[in-house]
Amino acid sequence: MNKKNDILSAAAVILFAAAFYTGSFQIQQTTSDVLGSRFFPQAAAILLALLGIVQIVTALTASGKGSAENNNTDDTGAKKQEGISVPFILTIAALFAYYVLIRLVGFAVTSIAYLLFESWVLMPEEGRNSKKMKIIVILTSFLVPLFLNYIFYQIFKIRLPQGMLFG
Amino acid sequence: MQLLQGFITIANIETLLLMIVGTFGGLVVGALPGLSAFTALAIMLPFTFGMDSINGLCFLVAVYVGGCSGGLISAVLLGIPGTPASIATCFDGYPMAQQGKAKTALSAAIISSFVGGIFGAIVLSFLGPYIAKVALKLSPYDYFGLILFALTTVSSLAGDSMVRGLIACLLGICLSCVGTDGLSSVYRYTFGITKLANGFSMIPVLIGLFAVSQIMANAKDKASMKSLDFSGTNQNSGEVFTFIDYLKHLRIIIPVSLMGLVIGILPGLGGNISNLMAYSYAKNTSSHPEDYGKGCVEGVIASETANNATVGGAMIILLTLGIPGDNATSVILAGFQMNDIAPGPLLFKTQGELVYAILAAFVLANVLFFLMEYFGLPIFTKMLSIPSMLLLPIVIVCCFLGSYCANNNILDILIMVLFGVLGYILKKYGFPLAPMVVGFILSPMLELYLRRSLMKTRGEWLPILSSPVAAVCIVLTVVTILLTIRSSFKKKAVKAA
Repeated sequence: MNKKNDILSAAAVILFAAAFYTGSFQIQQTTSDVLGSRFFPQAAAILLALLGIVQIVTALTASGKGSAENNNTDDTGAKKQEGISVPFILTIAALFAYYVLIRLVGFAVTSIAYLLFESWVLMPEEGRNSKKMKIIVILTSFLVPLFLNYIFYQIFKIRLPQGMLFG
Repeated sequence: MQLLQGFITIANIETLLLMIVGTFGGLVVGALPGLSAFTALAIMLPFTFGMDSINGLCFLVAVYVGGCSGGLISAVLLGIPGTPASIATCFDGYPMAQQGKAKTALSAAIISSFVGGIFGAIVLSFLGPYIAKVALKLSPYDYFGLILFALTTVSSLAGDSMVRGLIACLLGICLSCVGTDGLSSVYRYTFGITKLANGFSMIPVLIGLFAVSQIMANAKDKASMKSLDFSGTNQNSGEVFTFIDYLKHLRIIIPVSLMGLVIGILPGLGGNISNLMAYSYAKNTSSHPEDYGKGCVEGVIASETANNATVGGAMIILLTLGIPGDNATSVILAGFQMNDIAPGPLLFKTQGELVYAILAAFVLANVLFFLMEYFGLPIFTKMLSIPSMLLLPIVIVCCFLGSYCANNNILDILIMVLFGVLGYILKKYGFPLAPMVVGFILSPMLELYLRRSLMKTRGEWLPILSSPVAAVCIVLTVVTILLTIRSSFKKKAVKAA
């Protein structure tokens, strides 16, 4: 880990701890036991903030030359990996889209769409040009959700979401 | 005798078929690089919603055992560990395969896994009831001490930095505060959302943190989506390694089995650590350490015996104390909770039939994976050539299904995705996920026992230390922290030199 990342993540932890501590005052105070319902979240928030501070101090006091060298190497390495990855962004977008779509069109249709899309996103270039691979992806994308829907409905008697449009 | 009763309970076509499917599924997923026993459990968990408790839990145990044992195939044939528990198997297994001894390495690994697994299962069957009896006598003070020790061990030993481990653990503790307070029944951090009254459900949290964050990481590295290449090795080359050959290595087998078992009992370590520790033990005590890493069968034996013995150890602590030792046992714990069963010392008393059925299933799953791997190896190697870009999206669909089915709640899908993003960010910044999960699971119990203890002592903290078990655990907690700090200073000194 490089120094910048350590400090950045520790600062985020401290901010979260501060918000969590402040939020604890919204909890109704109880007197049924010695500690009450606020104690545990407050104690966790304080410890979290303290550890965040320890991480910042450790990062700042990391020994001079060696650490500077490490930082340089890490930064270069990090820069190499940091470029915006389209498949990564599309994968995250697809995960959120799944949640939205399943409410509208249900499990089977959403899953078919998701499998088609995600397999295409993850597919290497040579796969996209292969007719055989395209057929496999299409078949898998249709058969897996339909098979799962069948098993859950017919065997386990569990109704999977049908969506507002079909429900 | 009770174990025999367990075998009778599971001796029906339905349970046996489920166990065969579970072991096979676990083996296939465990064999695929990048997917672990946890992923296998996450995929299979939704299928247990329609099963009764005995069938569902036996199925999960079979998946767990299969998942832990599948990693050896790709470790030997490809030099890529299918699961982190098989890392050390690569060190000598892959060179053996390259030298034309793939069959020898694979059969040695399979026999070792079987013996390690059976050893763990037998110890679990005999030791489990005694540990449960002792655990029944523990007071809230003792449980508070035990959980505190478990949380510290996980935080200190998972990952490179204790501070980051503790931060991850405390984040898990904070997130577990969401929902209704167990003692006073007031809402905490629910922000008026009634569906959060019971807090975050364990299954979407687990699946999101481990499985969804993994697919995000894989999406970033599209190169890993290609099919695997077996061109350097041939699974049919070399002599078969027999049980008689195996028994010639008792010098290694006995200590590494014990090592694996003890590491399994300690929370937070698991097979990921035990295979490496066993390997270095075997190498350091060998009369020919120079052969290790060049295709020495002892390296394969040490790694595979230890990682499967660890499974028994992890199950001991889960069944007797209700403490999950690693992320995979957390899913099994979730399986218990889905059936409204709380693992712990009372389980042996109140659900004897279920416990012994699980123990019997554990033994049987070891036999099943041995038979499947020994005779069905070509099938697994064929499956390894399925490209990940086809499998990973299917894994995620199963994860969506698992999250939804836990409570029939679509909101859990969103929670799973959000925890996936959180898991990805935490991993990116070097925070280990295991302490977060263990903190999330154990924190409600920690709070409950602490508050109960203080009710008993009328707010005094010192009487908690008067209990020997609690005192020992608290001392061990402090010692663990001090030792970890010392070891990190030592590492820094070595780096500076």
